Amino acid sequence: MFLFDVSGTGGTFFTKDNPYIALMADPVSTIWPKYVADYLNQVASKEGVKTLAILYATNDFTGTQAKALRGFIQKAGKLKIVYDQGVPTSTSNYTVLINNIAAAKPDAVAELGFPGNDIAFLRNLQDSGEKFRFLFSIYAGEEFDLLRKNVGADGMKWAFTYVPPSNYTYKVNFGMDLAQYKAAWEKKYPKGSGVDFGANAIYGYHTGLVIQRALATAKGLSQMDIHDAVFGLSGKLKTLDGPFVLNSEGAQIGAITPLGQVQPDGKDVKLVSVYPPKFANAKAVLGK
Amino acid sequence: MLIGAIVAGVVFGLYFTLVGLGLNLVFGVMRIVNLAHGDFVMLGGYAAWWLLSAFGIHPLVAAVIVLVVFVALGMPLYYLIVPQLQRARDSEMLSLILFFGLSQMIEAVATIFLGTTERSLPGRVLGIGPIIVLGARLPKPWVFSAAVSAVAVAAVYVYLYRTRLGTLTRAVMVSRDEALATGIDVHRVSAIAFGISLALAGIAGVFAPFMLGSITPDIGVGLNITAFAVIVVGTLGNPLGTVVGGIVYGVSLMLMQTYFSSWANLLPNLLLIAVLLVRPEGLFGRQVRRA
Repeated sequence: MFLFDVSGTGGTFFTKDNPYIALMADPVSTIWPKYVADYLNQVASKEGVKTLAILYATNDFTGTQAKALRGFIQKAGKLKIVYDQGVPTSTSNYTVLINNIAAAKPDAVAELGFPGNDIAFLRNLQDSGEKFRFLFSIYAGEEFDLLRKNVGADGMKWAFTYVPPSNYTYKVNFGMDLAQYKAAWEKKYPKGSGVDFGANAIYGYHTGLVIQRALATAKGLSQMDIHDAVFGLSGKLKTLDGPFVLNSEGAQIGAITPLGQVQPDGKDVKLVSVYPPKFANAKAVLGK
Repeated sequence: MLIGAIVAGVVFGLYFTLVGLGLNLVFGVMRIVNLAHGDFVMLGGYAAWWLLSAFGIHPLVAAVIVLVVFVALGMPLYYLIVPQLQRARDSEMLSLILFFGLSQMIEAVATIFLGTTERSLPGRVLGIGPIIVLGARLPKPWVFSAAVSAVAVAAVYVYLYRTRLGTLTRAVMVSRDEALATGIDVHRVSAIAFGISLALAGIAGVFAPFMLGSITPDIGVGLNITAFAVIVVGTLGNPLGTVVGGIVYGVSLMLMQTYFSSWANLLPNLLLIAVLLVRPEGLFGRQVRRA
């Protein structure tokens, strides 16, 4: 048995003594917040952002990201963390938590949760009337359409987020590119079908491509034959999810998570990439 | 922070009063535990979402529609399930199993037809922005939901204590056998109570997207655990004790979020255990009920 781990990016999943797992899409969560931290340390701090609040759901995915973000920020020493709390992943109301965060007077807030957490947080934040100069939410970008439907454009405006492969066109050497895949998706799941296009749609297709190519080249179906075939693709495969690169423990390190921002687009909003500069297609806007 | 947490807790707790009220009414009248109650809350939420997205019907109007439809659904459902249950030797235990199965079925069917994607209602329909109470910034939809909950509690009070049907209902709550012996149509009274219970769940569901951010088909189980904690704290079988149970839960949750946020989801279970150990009859119970 070999585990094709679609998007379970928790850092603890990948160890030297387990060669039977490989992460397909998304980088391992320990490196997700790198560009968030880089932006805060290198750009925002120069514009007066000096304090940070971190609120995270206590699961492996977001807990690992919170730990990584905390580490990056503390190592650089440019920002002071004034609030750092975990909440159960089942949390569905953030009103009091937002009041408590506001009482700590942070310039920047990073809320790390799953889609349900981010929807509730952004809705409660809009209702609270509180504003922060920098607000980060994972799924404002990762599941942009879903959050726009559930939170509304105004509630997402100016939020920083990750730019997922569903919103960034990578050059491919195998499979459909983003435009072709999105067209196929919308044919299968037209508007109103209840199935939204987003990063998870990319991850599933990308995983299928890796399995297809690995099975085509595997010498057999034993665990190590499949392991060798999958790891043999590392560094060679480029799909609409970006470069497929595994480290020796099976963690995905080729995919990247540029920092994006939800910016106004007429009465609506759009997701743009703002950092690092080589992936940017718009300029970041910090709140006042 | 303390006052803000308490104020928000009272408002949030009033909503959970509405979630638990119907569950307690059914237990009080029928001595059965409707473990599918949370799933009817979920269905109420989807009904409101569908009515708004398909027909542009405002959630307050949707609440009235849900009230009527869920009462109409609840009464035949009662006759389909409950009389057979009550003929069994251990109807309370069987009700747990049967309604757990019903809960699973509702969740599975909802997942098949509605998908697992989060759904919600736009915040603007109940107003965006805070209402400031004693310095605490409360979302307008929370205050709306709490107000609707207060109206529902008052309506249940009027029904129980100011109507003839309510008097008959209380008679059944005191002793089903004696009520039967005095000629009360126990099944009719119970069916109406069951319909009201589902209607209360459905109305709670209409406001769930505002209180919980979004709804998915699997929210029923979690809501049921919370509702159960609320009614145990406020005394099983005492619908109006649910108000206090809800407020105790809401304030405790907000205090946990403020001071021990990582542990906040343990709260319903902690409350259940604490109440069962210290005061098993609940805050308003006179004595421990003997099985």
